Amino acid sequence: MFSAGVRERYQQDLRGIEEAGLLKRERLIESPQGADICVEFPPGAPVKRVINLCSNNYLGLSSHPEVVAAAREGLDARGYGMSSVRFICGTQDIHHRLEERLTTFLGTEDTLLFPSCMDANAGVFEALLGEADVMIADRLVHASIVDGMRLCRAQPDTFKHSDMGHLEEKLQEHQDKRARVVITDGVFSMDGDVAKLDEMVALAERYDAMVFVDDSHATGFIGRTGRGTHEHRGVVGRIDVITTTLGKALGGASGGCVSGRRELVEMCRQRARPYLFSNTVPPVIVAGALKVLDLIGSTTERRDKLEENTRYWRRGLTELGFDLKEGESPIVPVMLYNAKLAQDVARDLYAEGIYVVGFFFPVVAKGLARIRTQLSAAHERHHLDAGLEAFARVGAKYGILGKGRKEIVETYGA
Amino acid sequence: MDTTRVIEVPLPEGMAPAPEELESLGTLLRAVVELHGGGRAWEKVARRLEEEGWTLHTRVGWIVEARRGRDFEQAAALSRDEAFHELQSLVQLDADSRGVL
Repeated sequence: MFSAGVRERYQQDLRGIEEAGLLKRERLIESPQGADICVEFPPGAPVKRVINLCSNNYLGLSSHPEVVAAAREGLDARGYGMSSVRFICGTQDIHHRLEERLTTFLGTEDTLLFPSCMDANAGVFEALLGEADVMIADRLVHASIVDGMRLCRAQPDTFKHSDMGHLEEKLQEHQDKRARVVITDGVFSMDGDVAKLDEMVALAERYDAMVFVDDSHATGFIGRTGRGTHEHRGVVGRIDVITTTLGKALGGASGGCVSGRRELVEMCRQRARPYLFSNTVPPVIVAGALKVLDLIGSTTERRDKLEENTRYWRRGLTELGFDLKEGESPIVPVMLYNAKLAQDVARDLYAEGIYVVGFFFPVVAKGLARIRTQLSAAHERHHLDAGLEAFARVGAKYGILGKGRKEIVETYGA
Repeated sequence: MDTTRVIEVPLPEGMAPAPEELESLGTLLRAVVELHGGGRAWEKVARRLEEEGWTLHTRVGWIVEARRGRDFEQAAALSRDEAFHELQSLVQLDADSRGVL
């Protein structure tokens, strides 16, 4: 029973979250996703048109007219929902077609769709591993991987972020296990750095381990033809399991997949609970995703533009004197170190018409607060120039231009 | 007739057992007593599980727990080293990537 006492307990918990400055508030967007969006924030404030520098719309396909048209056609041709899980009566021909297309695009052996990549990561480990096995994960992997590891009986272990020496120690330590799986993100979402998949694969081959990569922040644009981190690092065909999402670069709606060795994917089809006990991606999204693959398979124009936008943005911020996390992905974190400073800068940028979000503990480590900017192929040069001008004004206001960590922390605290 | 049996082991002069030594001793003695009596409800559960095809193993080991605010982790293993190793792995899983988006 939801008694007054129980209600009070939850209210107290929520007050605690708010007092700690950790309450998440949604901002209402009253336009399609894109480089320019209309936002109502705070609630009740007049709707404001701002430049969006914080979405995962890397290829600018979220509202692309051809994707929208294909989705509409898919809706007309195959209906709205399936009202069934995949293995009863919830699989259409287009689901299989999308799985085949993803397999070809990712350069793997087989693919299985999931309702989201969160679901793929939640289900894949339990489906493939047992108590005689070990999972060795980079310490900065996505939270959904952590949840998936917790749902699995295999022994969990971690290695220091991108530290191949530490990974090797762990692989040596776990030689007595039946199977070893090295687990990493392809591109790390908060820092934007790219996993050293080439070194990781070499270690995995030396120590008889499988390699798992969540490439959600890479599929569609990292690598020469946008296949992902494995293409960028030259290890296509040598990654055993890739999970990725349709919810970012590939149209940005929702849905995810497990792609990789045929037997591993088939095991997921037989055992992964989010696949077995949930409806899959609806036809309208499948149709849109197929069009996305047509678009990015026919030309690299969009990922090339994203790469150029990233270079331009990174160079511009660096020349202004901002302290950036090194990297080559379209995730460009502007380091501010102090949580309040990150929030204040984000608020002032919003007033300037630039939509970004400050991240601080516990989303990132204490003393490493930042604004994570994310580039898109939808950005035109004028968007980036306007963004740089606003960053210059706000940076000057807070006296952080040309300042590094030490000086910022001396002024604002850690 | 009093059937209580008491085992007395005099400690050498100056010996002061550490709290965890006493805890270990207590656990061991409780386990011995469990083998000869105590609650028997487990037998019914065990029998049913075996009838359902489960192979059961009962072992005495270490349970280690870590609590910090709302966070709670627990690990169990035959040795304390193993239990703490697992506990560390569980804590470390979320230490750096708890809120990664």
